[in-house]
Amino acid sequence: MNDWEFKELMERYERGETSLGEEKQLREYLREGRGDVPLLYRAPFEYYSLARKEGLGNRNFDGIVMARINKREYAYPAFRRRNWLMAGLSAAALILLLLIVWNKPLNYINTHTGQRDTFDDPHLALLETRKVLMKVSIAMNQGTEQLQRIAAFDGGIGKLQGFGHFETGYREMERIALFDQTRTMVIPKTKSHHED
Amino acid sequence: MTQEGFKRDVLSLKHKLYRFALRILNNADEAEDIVQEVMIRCWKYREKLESYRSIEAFAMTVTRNLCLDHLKSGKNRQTELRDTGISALPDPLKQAELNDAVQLVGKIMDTLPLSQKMILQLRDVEGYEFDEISKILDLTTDNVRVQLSRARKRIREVLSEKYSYERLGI
Repeated sequence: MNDWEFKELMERYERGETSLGEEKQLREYLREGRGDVPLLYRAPFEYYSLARKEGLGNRNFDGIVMARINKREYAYPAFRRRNWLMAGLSAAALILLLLIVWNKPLNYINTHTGQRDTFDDPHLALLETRKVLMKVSIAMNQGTEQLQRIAAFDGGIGKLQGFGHFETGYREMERIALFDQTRTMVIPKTKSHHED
Repeated sequence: MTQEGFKRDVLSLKHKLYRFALRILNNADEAEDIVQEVMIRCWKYREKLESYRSIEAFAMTVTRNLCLDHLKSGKNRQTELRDTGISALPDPLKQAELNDAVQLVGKIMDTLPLSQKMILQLRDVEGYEFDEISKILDLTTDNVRVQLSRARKRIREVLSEKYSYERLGI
């Protein structure tokens, strides 16, 4: 490459139009030191060449990375096995729980109460149903009565709040009485002073 | 990917990744920490890693992302410019001038917008193709060319202001 070609290539280089091969040619031209190349062309290439030689200063870098990797690698499968074990145990416990919950009411009705859930005679079944519903209705009404009492108590509490105002007024009256007492103590003295 | 494969294909990229991180962060310790984290992530995703066309481009992208996150977190502490061991010239005066000019290039690079800085590092220092840079930085190839051109021109402009007494004597 002659000086003129170098100059032209540099212009293309600045426009970002050169290939990696052409940029290599530029580097070689500068390295060989042909021609009196100004600093403004030479310095950047020198800088890039030096920057390319920079590297990690830590000589134990590989060892640190591999130690971290190994720690994770050995921890990971154990963690995975433990997870599978936990998942299996959880699933078994859930199935067991479902079986117990599902079977208990049936067992309870059949074995402990001795009640039957069906009647052969529809009329008898209707009567039994009415009886049960009446019991439920009575129990519900009792609950409602209690609720009404609670509502009345709540109303009483509301009325009691009025006593708060009364108490405030009473305190103010106390202050007035105190003022009045002081006045009666001061006024006779004033009167006697005038009399003198 | 086995550990041997990892050492061969990924761990061997450490210096390149470090230079890239150092360019962005300007702090040697932070750059090293980032590269360590990149390595761990590459190992973590080793099964997917083999399906990537370029492990190097993937590692570079991870480096860039981690560095940008680090910058955003405000934890980055930029240190002084690094000393450079510039090749010796026979003329001591020219040598001193070259030393100064090279230091100045480093300073100019640090003042460039981050994307220009990264592009310049990947192209002029590491020698990546335009399409590789566009993938690493998630930019179009045209954008990469434009920004690279701006960065190179900026360096030349500042240098020519400083060394205006020189003429292109070629």
